[in-house]
Amino acid sequence: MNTEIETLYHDGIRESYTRIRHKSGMTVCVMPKETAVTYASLGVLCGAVDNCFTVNGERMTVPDGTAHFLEHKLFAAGEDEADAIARFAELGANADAYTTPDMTAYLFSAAENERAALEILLDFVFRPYFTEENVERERAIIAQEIRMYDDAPSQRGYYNAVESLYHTHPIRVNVGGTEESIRDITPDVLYTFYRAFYHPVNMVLTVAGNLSPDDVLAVCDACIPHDLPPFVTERMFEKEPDTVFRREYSDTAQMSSPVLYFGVKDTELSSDWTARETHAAAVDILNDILFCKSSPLYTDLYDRGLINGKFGFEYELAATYAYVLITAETDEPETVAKEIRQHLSERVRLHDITDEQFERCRRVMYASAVTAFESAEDMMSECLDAAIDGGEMFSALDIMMAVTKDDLFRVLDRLYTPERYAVSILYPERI
Amino acid sequence: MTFKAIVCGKAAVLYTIPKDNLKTDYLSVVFTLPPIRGKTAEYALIPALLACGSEKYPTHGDFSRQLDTLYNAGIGCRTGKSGERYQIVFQLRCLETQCVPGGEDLFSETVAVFADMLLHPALENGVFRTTYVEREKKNLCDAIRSDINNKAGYALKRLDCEMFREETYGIPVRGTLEEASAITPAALYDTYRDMLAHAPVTCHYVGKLSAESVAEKLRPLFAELDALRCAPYYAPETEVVRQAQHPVRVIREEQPTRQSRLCIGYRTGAVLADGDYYKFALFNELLGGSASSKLFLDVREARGLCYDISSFPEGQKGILYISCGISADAYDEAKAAIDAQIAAIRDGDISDAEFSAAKKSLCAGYREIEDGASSLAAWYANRRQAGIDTSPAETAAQVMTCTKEDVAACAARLTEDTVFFMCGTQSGDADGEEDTEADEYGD
Repeated sequence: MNTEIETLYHDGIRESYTRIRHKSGMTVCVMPKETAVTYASLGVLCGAVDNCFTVNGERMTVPDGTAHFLEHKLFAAGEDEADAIARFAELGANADAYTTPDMTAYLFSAAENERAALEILLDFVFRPYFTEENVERERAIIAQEIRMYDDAPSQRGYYNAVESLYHTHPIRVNVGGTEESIRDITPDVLYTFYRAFYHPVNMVLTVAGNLSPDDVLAVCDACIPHDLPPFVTERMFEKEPDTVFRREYSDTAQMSSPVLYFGVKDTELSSDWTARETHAAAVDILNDILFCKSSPLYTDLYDRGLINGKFGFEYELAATYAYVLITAETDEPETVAKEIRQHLSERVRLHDITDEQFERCRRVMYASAVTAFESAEDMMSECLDAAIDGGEMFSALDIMMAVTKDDLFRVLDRLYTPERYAVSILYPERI
Repeated sequence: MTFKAIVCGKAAVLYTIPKDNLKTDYLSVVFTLPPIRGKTAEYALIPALLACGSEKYPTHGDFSRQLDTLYNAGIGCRTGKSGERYQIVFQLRCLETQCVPGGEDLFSETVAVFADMLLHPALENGVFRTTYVEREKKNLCDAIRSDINNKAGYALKRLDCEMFREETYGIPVRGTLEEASAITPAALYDTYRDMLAHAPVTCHYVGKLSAESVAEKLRPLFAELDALRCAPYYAPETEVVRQAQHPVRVIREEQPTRQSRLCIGYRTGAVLADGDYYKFALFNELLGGSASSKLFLDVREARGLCYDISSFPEGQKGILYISCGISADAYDEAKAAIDAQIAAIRDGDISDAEFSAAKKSLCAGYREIEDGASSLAAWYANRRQAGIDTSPAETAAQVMTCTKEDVAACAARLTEDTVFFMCGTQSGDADGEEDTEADEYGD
């Protein structure tokens, strides 16, 4: 395979970047920007949901929390060399990493020595070093991380909600796993997972700041291994029913006020990025009209003192799962849930989205898109999220701006039906 | 770097920081208020009340709709403190003209909405509307109570309460539940009018517009404000306590959590106004400011005692905090390890590699500030309060001149004041307790 290079432009927001299909199979996006700090991120298409997969047709399972454990441990180095964090630090670069349900990403930011920092990024990710001893030591650190999140009510509430929506999908699995599950993670497990997913074909590199496409390409040519066997891994998911797992659920946590999690399961899934993005754009715009601070629902609930401003909504869409999650801190979670149901039912019945609402929302979306390209860090992250998902960020913007009111009505009718709702409430513990 | 200060009203100053690669205009407007115990709940409520509605935009929904129409312009408001100066901070942000499809002057329009919000709040009988006040009082009480939801933040707030119980710095920014509950519309309105009359105002603009142009666009706002202003203007100063005044206080509190939080407060003997605070900033970076710091490498990486550990300074009052999440039974080992790392720096046990890494990491952090409008405005606001105006780049250059002796001297000046240990009772580590919550959670 040869390396292919193309430059992508967006006239509307006057931005461009270079996309490289590297001969290794890696997708590389470079956004030169005049900034003090350069940001780079290497995303790997594997995350917490990947606890079951096939390699060359052979089914494999790993303990919950493996992707996250690997993310921690990949920074390790052999005994006679410095670990990746120290190597970055020597250059004045700061390194970081994170794991999501779908992706693992390794990042650095650097105000100098950007090219050398990129070399380290593309070096350490391809040189795993796991031993009994270093895995054991990391287990204690990750156990503390798990406990920290266990003490966070928002984390408990989120997973309760997702567990309510899904019967079997591993989106239910805590990204970090549990203290029990990580006990089964060994160097062998990490190597198995690593070999399955850490392949250039399954990776996206994005760089924004003071590196040119030529610089980045030269580092890629020098650092990305070229003698790897073909990528033969496939993600595996059990068939997830369209129904929600449970319609109502409640739990307690050490917290101050009850929080309502109103989940809506979206079953309109597609393996095609454009189809997925077109749907996502319509849902995002619709949700903004339905739930933003200027929406009739929000203002009504706020004016009546039913919510206190800690009210949010998000839409998550991946190839195998999608949901809307509305959260509200409220003394009357059941009443607010009822109000949301009634409001949605009315909106479905009336189809009362005005031109003014639609135009206002398009302005909000346009401004959000423009400002996302203000900072190199945001640009890097936008680009990574689109590319790792098989898409492209400028196309995503065009898709967003092409949404019509009819698209919104279609989504409104299909998505907001009561059988898709799962209400989960987290109450304060009585101490 | 010196930027021209433009007097834009009575006791009101505007600084503009030119930055031509942004797609937005950013303006912060800070009112400084006196630190009075019993008043801070009112301070916290004022921005909330202003956001409820105005003469032109009677409800918060009307504000939101208008700001959405202005291409998602934002007017954020909050209370905070810088040293012992209590502040109400407004942050305006909007697309700069060249990024607006119709080329509209969104900055002027956003300032106009802000002026209406600030100067013409929705009233009844000459004071804030009772329904709005009661609703926002409840929301403020909810917010105060919600501190417990974030365990790390809660433990640090408790440390502040204990460490500064006899000092102005210990006055909680949002007041107490009792203070919030007792607020009346009339008293709140009086405090608001006092703020308009007597609070010094500092504005920082970051973006493409010239200083003169920004001043011109703010002129209507300040012309109207000036009519309400009169001397004396508040001039709160921060009392600096350079050394702990008592043996170390150790406070232990049990909470039903899985993880315990260890927080330590130190008097640093160093403040921004000293002029060489960059030495202390470097000491902090070396101690616990990054993933290559001594605390991170020893307490987390070598000992595996925690996931998160960091140190962070407060430069107006002269404080250093250390915060980490540990097992309940790891208190002694973690505390001893932290003490040992501070002692190591004091004794000059600093390798060339870690010293160089700390310098580079700190300087990279300063460079990062230059890329963001709000971070740049906050940088200068904080420094100007201390009477200095070095830029991030200039400060980075100063950092590079520091010696190991400089940071060892910073460590030697540090005195431990208060330890707050939030001991988690659900960890399963202490008293052979079973960890039932974890089992449930993994289901």
